[in-house]
Amino acid sequence: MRDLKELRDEILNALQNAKPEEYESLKIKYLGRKGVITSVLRGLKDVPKEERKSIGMEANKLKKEIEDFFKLHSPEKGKTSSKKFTDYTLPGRKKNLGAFHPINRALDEIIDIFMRLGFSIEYGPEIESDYYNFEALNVPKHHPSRDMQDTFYIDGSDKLLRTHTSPVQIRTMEKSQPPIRMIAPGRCYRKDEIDPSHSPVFHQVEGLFVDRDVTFADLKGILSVFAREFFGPETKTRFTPSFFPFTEPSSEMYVSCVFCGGKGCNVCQHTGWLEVLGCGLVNPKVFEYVGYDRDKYNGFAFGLGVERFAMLKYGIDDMRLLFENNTEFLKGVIK
Amino acid sequence: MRVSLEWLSEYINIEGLDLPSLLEECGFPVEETIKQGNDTILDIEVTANRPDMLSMIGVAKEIRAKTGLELQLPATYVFSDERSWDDFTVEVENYDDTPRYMVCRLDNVDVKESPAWLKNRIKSYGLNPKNILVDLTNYIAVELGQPLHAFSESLVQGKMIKVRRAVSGEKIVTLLGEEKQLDDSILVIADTNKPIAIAGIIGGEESGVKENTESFIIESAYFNPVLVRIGSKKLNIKTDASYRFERGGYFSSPEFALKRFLYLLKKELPEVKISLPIDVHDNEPSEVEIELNRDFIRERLGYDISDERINEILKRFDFVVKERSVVIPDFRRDLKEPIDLVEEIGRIYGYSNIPNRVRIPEGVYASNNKMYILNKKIRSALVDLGYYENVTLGLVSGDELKRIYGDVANFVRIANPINKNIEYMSPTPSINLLKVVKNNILKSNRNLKIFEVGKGFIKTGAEFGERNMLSAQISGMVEEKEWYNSPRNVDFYDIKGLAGYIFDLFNIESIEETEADHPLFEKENSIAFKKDGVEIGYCGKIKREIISFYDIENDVYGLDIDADKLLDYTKERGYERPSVYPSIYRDLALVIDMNLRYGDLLNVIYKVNSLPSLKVRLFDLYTGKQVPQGKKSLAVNLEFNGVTRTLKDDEVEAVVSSMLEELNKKFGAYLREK
Repeated sequence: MRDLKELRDEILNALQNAKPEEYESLKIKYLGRKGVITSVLRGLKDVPKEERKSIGMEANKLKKEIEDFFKLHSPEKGKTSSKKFTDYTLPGRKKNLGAFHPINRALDEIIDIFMRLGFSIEYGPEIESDYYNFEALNVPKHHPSRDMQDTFYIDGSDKLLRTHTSPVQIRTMEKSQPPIRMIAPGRCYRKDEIDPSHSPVFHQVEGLFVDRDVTFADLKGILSVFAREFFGPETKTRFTPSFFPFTEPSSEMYVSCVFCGGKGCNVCQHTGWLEVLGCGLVNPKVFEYVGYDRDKYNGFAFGLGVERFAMLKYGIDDMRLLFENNTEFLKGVIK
Repeated sequence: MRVSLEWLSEYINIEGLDLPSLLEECGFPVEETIKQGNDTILDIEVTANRPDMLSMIGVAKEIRAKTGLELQLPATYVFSDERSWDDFTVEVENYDDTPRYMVCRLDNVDVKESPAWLKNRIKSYGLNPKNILVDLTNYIAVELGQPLHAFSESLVQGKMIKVRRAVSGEKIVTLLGEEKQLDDSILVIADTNKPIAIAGIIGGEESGVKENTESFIIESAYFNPVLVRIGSKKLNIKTDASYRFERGGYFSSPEFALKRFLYLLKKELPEVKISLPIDVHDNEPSEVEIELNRDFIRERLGYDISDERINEILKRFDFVVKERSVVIPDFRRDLKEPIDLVEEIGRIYGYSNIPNRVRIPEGVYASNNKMYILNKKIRSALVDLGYYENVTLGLVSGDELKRIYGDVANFVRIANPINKNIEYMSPTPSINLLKVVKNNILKSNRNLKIFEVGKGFIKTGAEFGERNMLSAQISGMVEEKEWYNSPRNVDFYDIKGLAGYIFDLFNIESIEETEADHPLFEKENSIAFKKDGVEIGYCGKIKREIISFYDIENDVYGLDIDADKLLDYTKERGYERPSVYPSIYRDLALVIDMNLRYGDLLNVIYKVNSLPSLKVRLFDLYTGKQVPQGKKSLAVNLEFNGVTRTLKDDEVEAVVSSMLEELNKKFGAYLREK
């Protein structure tokens, strides 16, 4: 029977100096069925009774110490272990993200900007009446836009598919009093064949701002802020006269070309400018339709095509791509 | 409108002007610049409210207003000793239809080729020169915006012209040789027998100017624009004349244009004999006088423009400026109200010169829109779950609807669709999502998770229903094969799980799940969700015959949820203090017949429970050798809690044994041996 103290020093020393790859064989050597400690414990029966208890305790203590060493230095837990190699270049167990549709990405951003500017969101029906889509917006009875050529009508009904989200202006004014700041995002329909820049179904955001003392300077101010927020801080705006029955004066807003920064390129047809939205001061006749005092209130309104904004922002050159919903396209390329 | 700069410079000195910028500032952007010989032609876009800009003189006047340059008005013919045209009468049936109608008789006309200057100008507008008479009428249309009509005198029978509505059943063969049926919505120029022209639109077959004719009638008129529009639409004839007439005429125009025509005609053909005109007209309309409130103009524009500047701009438009009003010449009949003057001042002063102002008016704040919040929440959640958001047209064919729903009676049809494929408003985005699935599979994107938040339309009698809907579809494998996984194909429980996720998202509890009978889904592999007895959605496996119709081979699972209903039933989450007393857990592995439903067991478990709180979780479902054939094992974990007290083991034991007893009685369920 060897002296346990000696044995302990020898084993612990051997363990301290052992290389990790030797652990397994040392473990067998000490703790295995025929291992050193096992045989010590087995040999206890030959030890005199009076010493048996204390040697047994010592031997078990040593066994525990050795076990603890291996626990500490086991391949799973030990930092010195090389059993499990972590290849940090392997892909992580990542959940794949889906993607928002570019039309709605642009729309979310547009809505977000106008909400920061204090505009509320209003929705309205897509199956509309002639009154809200045309008449109350001061579009004359025989205006070309009311044509069957341009507007979808509902079978067996005098209703139509709204050609813009402007009817929501009227609906909002009918149910609330100024001041009003609202935008109406939504689907619109026009009788256009599908081609790279047209679709019979498209999305519009209509905006309305009504209060006392609203001027053309307010229109320019708000819409210029919007353009800079959407297209970037360098964006310049320009307003030219136009015509819409529901605004007077009417205007088109241009932004400095988002592709060439205004230097001139194919997209802006070398003008440096892109026409992006129609706007104007609300025609007082529209206020008459909704029962507002036209001498007390004034306002401005605008309407923009979401597809165009999305296409300009993300550099998409064919509207048809937007409605194909090819997953590879929707993922979006990293630019 | 094609504007030849060579022609334009006859009225105004445009040298050194940047016309494209200038015209755009006025609201008439140049769409195209065309070089034609030594001439430059600007094709400008003209808005519907400004028919005066469809003429050279209108463009020149606009440039004058913008620049203040001098304007040279074209010379006109002055009648002196012409003979009157006594043996001919003109009758106008209704002045509302025809406010003014003028004719002159032209004799001794040598219908020859036009001189070079005239031909060039006609070409600059994009027309082919024909002969002096036709070219000159076209010239006047472009120069002054007033279409004229010249026709052979011999064409008119009975020595009279009557401008009247056509009689139903009357016919006319047009200049282009087409026979057109007329009715009383169409205005015609007729002699005693028959219509010889459709007013403002096109001449009759015989009215073409022939070279061997010597005597002509030249007509210069003002027709009701709406009538011309209706007629042109109904007969499907669009001409340069109808384009101009339907945008409007004005009272003084026929006379000025006629005199201008005669001036040029006499200059080119001195031997022509001209009669005095016959001029049939309504009372001359009274002058348009608009209140001029200069403060109002400044207020609306948001800029402090001086009184003098305002007056100066208005005068440049030929308006008579008085102290408190302006008189508008009749060629600008788009101007009617003080707000219209604001636009004129703004345009000429320049929108760019008006400052920008950003202000938040008092009392306005952006209120929350619940549907928007819901829409955004659903979309964000699904994108996070790996779904791709789709936007489809929302229009489908009647054929598709018939295949899915049996008939089309309950769907909204477009009366004038572009084509049959997009004739109906889709009752759910799901139908178009199936096409997206198909197209993606064609492009080798087979593992699909797609959704759309869109509208669904239905028709009930004469009423139209318009709902916000969430539709989603999945197909292929749950996820892509990676180094760490072995993905399986999607199944019913994936789509059901998505539905549950959405209900959790809006905190909608106690949803009833019932058997579904939905046209899109296989009956045995689908489910309807109800809340308080109201259907809020469906999900399941899309019927084989439907996916085959779209040429899809892979299984597709879909979901249709009524988003408006989500909004109705969503509620705020509340908070409760968690129980401080320990829970007691019991695991039960229940063996039951294969065709029994877990939900039915669950109902019994909850029903029997008498302790304050019980949560049940199904943690294993086993079929196989360990249980008898035709049986399955459902392993549930029961978590009991006393909420306000500590539960005793024996009360839990008592409840569990009554549960087992009841389950055995109802379903023959027994505990699986360990």
